[in-house]
Amino acid sequence: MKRILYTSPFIPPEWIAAHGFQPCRIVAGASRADQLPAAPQGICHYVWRYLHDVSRDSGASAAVFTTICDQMRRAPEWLRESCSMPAFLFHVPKTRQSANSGELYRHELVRLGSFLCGLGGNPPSMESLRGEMLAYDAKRGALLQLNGSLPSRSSLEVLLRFYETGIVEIPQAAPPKRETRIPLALIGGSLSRDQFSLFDEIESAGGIVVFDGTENGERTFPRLFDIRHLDMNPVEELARAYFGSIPDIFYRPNDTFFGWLVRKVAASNVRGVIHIRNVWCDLWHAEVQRIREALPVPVLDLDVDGETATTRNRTRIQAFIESLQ
Amino acid sequence: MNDAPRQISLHRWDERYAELKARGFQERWYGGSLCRHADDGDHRLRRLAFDDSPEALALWNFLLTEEDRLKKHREEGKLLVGTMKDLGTVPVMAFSFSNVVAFYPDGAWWIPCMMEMSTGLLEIAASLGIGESFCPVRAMLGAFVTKVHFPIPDLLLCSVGATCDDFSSIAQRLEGLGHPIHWWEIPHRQPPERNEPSVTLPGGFEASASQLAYVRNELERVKQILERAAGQLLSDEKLRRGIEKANEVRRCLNELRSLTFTAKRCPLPSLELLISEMFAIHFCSDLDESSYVLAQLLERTRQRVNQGQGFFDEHAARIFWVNPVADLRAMNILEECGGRVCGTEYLFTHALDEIPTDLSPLESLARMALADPMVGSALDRADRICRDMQKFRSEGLVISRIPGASHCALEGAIIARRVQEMLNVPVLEIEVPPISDSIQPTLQSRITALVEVIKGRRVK
Repeated sequence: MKRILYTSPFIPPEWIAAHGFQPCRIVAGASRADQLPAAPQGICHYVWRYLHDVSRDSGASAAVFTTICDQMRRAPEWLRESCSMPAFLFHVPKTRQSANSGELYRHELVRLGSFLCGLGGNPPSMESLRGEMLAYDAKRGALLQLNGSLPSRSSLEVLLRFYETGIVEIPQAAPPKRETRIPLALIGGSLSRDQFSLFDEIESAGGIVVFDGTENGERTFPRLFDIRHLDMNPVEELARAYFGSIPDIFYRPNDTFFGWLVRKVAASNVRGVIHIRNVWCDLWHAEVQRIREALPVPVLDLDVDGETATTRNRTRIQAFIESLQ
Repeated sequence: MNDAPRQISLHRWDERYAELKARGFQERWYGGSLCRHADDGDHRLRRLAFDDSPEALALWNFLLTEEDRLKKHREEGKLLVGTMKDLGTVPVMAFSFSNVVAFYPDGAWWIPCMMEMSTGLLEIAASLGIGESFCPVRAMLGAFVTKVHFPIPDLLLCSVGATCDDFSSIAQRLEGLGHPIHWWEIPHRQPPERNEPSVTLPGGFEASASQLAYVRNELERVKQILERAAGQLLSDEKLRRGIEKANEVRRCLNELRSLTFTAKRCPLPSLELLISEMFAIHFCSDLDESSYVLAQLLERTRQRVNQGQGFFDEHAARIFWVNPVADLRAMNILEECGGRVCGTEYLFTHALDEIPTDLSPLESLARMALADPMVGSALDRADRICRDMQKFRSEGLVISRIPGASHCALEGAIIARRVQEMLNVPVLEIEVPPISDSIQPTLQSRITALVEVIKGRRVK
């Protein structure tokens, strides 16, 4: 089945699947770092890696970008300069103060649908869309049940496989020992694969990630679909679940993200929060201080920029976890 | 007064001012010696070179007394509206009310330059978590904290969506400090889908009718916010009058630019032209007076062109400049190195195009908003730059990166490649911080090199 690449959690895989494509949400960093061309000054590492991964994926039919951040908004133009893969730019509205925003998101879904049909996809029937939505809901439900029963790096690998293939495959593994470990939360934007070793570093230092609030983690799951609305108007329900229920920093205003974060930290009993951001990611960088002010637990701010994350940040993680012991 | 124009220092302006006054020079209420602003804290003026005409003096005095005007408007009971990020659309609406004044808090980005870092605004922003990796517009945060540089607006409106991240983040941080903001969405301008009706916007970009309808709805929402705050309704008739006044400013600016960029000798230095263009965004908090100031400057420029008077060598390299500079001194440096500005794109060319008057006023403003070069692709922006470079016969391009600005990382290379491909002219990319003194030799070398390449190509 033809694959459609994307990286943003605000692109519904159900919609892509209902049009007859394999949705493939990639976490950037699959291709080798030594094959990367030199990045222009000031470009976000994640955007650069995603561009590179997409341009080297000759088997994919198209790539979807969003306007959530300014650099990703401009990225399709770079892609067009380096390869002929069709690219779609999906405008995810940022303001939540207007009913117009929800309508804009729905309109963008329809526009994406036309793009997919132009690539040979089929306009979905409401039945097929409902089917895909229920299937993905069930899978996300199964993933949420994991709830820390796997080591955090293993959980992440399970999520990645689900994002890329739609398959939920939970390995047999001993649950991590929590009693002696410092429970932590991670928050932030997109982590590329070359930064996953941060999870290992956290566990080596005596911490355990209780919830992953980065863009790769469960924070970015949409809410469960409302069956009644799903039956009446699945497109509308899809739009409402994806645009409106995922807490994120880019919304304006973004107070709902802070509300979610405070509740989640309280409910998870974490003793500290690690905030991970890419250098040049203004959206997350600007919120560090507010996040510190909002939370009753210490916050460690780590920035990553294409280097192996552990080299720069190992000492800081160790010191942070030690200070919480 | 038809003396040959010269660029003079601030110190020399003191003497010139005395000469003008002795000759019976009449000024507007905000007039006076330019030095008083430097004494008040705008220290950078001491390092700049100025057009020595009375009209240029009026321009600077008008600019540098904006804070006084805002205070006066506040005392008169007018509603002060901070129109953030949006470059030139909502202020037209705001000024159509009889009791509303729009101003542009983002303009605080020049305070660190003008006051040569003496105000601590950037340090305040850093203490709030917004440090050097963000655009100099972070000075706006500091200005809201100190409350010294402008009265805190009664209402804040901010566009978001297809806008730069650093400004969006800084504005959100401002809201987090207790300044409520009414956000309105500007979507990324996309070409219409097949079978979808297309609209040609002022400036030549294309957009879909559905996008235009969306922006129109957003501006309707903004209008209702303003109406509630102002306690007045804004009729189509009032808005049309506001649009016509804005168009007067835009026509004046277009003629000023055209004369300046095409005259054999440069009739107006780039610094004064940059200031003038900035008036298009929010009219420096007084639409009628900005129109008057620009009209006077235009008249002086026409005279100079008719008399063959001007600045700099008539063989100066004709350079198109992209993006505003954080340090105004950079514009003088270009001219000292043998260049002259023949074409500009300071992020808001849409605010220089006339607003259509054959449509409903909100529809017209929606078209203007969507015509913003920054809400579409960098290629769109580059294509417009190419058209203007051909019109103004520019021989080279300078792309001035703004430190920390999210859009500069990716768009500069795209614009440079497109311009080189279409026009085969040399391109220089530089970065200008709020105070560029420490890198002045580097800037001079690089600009001089560009000028030399341009002049060398002429011989061939």
